[in-house]
Amino acid sequence: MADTNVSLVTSISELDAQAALDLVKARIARGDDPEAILTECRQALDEIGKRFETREYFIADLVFAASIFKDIMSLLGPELRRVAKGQQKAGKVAIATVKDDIHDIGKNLVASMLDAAGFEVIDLGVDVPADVICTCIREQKPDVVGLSCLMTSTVDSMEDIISEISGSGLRGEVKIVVGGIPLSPKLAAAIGADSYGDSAAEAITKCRELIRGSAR
Amino acid sequence: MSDNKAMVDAKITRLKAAVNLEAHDKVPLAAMADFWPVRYSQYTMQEAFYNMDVAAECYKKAFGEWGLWDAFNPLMNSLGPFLDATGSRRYNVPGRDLPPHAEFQHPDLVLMETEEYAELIANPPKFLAEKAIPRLCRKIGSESAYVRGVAWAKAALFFAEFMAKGRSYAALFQNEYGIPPLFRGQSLYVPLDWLADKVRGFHQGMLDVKERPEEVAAACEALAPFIVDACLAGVPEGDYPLIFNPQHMSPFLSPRDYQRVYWPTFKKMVDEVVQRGYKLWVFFEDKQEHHLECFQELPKGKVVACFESTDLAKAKKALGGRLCIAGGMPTVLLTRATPQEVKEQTMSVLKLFEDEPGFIMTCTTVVPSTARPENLHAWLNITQEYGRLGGGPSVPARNGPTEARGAAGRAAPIPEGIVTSWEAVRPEFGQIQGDENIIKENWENLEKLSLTFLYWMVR
Repeated sequence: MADTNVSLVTSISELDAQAALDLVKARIARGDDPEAILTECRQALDEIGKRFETREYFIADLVFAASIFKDIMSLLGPELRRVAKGQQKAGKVAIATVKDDIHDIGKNLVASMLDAAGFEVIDLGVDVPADVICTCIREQKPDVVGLSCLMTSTVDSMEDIISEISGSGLRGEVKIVVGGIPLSPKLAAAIGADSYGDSAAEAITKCRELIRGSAR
Repeated sequence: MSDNKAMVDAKITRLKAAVNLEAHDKVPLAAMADFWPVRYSQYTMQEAFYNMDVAAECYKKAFGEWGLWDAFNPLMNSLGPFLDATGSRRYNVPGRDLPPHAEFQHPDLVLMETEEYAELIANPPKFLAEKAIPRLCRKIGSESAYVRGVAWAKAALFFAEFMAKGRSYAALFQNEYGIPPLFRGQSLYVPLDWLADKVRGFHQGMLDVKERPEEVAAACEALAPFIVDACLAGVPEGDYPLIFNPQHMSPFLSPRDYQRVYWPTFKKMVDEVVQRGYKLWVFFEDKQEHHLECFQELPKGKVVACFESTDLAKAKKALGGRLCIAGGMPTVLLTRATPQEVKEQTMSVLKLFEDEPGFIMTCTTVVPSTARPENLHAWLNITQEYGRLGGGPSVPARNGPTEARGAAGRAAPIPEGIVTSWEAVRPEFGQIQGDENIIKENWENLEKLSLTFLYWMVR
């Protein structure tokens, strides 16, 4: 039986997957509020983000943290739906790897971290053309579109997509954040993005900033 | 001595001097690419991916225009027919799975289950032949013995022709275009990179590092000798051209995980390769400032440390005078910047390394297919014009070309690793009437090649 006095925040932020899952199971069994458990998970992910910024943790640690969170959510999801108070989402983000690029590790990591941070995430997948993104903006009205690429050659594709969003008259509807190895803040601005995230953790901060900026 | 030969000899001498951290005349320019000149030559990526002769035609045109490289490795991965013949899923193929002008890409594939670590550790080539390759290549994994047999045969025939053509074009680019190769042999993967990229999948590989580090470390130990033998079988002894070690997972690991599962077998592998008389070009992907201290332990003057996004000033401070450093031109500048911006970047890197003979100017990854011609001209011309090292002799005599060719021409050392040893198979032969050694030698030679072949099959 897990020791429910041990902090869930500590277990997750120390990446102790087994202890974290045992704790969640024990706390569900004893009838704890699932939303309170979720809040603690998010506190842990904030802590993991801080450790990433201070270079104690690296990408593999974030990927593992996302995996732990996914396992926790498979336990917690049914409980959250049962109480169904419906927590306020932090915002809605549509995310995609751009056309002609199939690399999804960075995109998936950002999607998982956004989900864990309380955003509603629409994952459009990889090799996504502009028309799919424009349709998503029209129909699902995300606050932010996140675009990812790995290859130098697909920066052009990213630029084309942003250009087509503008050409379709949708540029005023969304903020756009971009990320990927070939990009830099300067290049992100040059291709028409609103913001650039250097890492999954920074992408979350940038999405929060963009949504706060839009709300003002 | 023809002018072309003299020029090639001078280039090789310059490059070797930089690797050896010795004084020489000017900063060497080296690069690699896969299908960089295809777009420029107005072929489709599909045409080049299905025909190495097309890729070579594109390189001839490009080398005619940009001939300043001291060394260049065209990675002409024209693998389309092989992938179709075996049903391999390793690549997304231009013109088949992607638009004809798109570049090939690698999907992240899982070819080994979690519970199969022990099997891999027990015998890596056996695991490849029995499990990983049939899972990767649908036709080799077919239930029909006929389909399987034909697919293996086609793969072996393609492999032999692919390797022969690659060697023949490397000689042609050197002899007729004055551009020597940078690398030789198969790419040498650090065991964890091979484990993740070739059999476990990159994403799952990262999770394995966190979830089962002991098994991962044991697998890396088992893979190291297999990879070194498979990579070096048949590669002539000598310190030039270099052995290429592309790294993938290292930037994503914390120093703790790096020390636990990556560095020990990376270091062991480098020591073994160096001990066999070779030198390496290690491509350190992404940012690796957090591992720089470790790299100080790599053997002095035996390794080129090529950095993608690591701060070169920090790299110089940590490794200058110990390892030759390569890098300097971000790919994205070649594709999107102005010639003036390319010039400024080139000058700033040359300034940083003006007092350091151990530096090679190169592109941060491969020369991109969308590189602007005017930017390539700016980069090469500025390096040629300003990349002069103060006061160094132009060609150090003791690194002369005769020695280089002599070293490259010696017989390769006999690798230890083979798939099935003669001792294991000997009983099947019963009484041998003639000279057993003739049969044994030929058996082992083909076995060594088959080790390289199995390694190549999952590339």
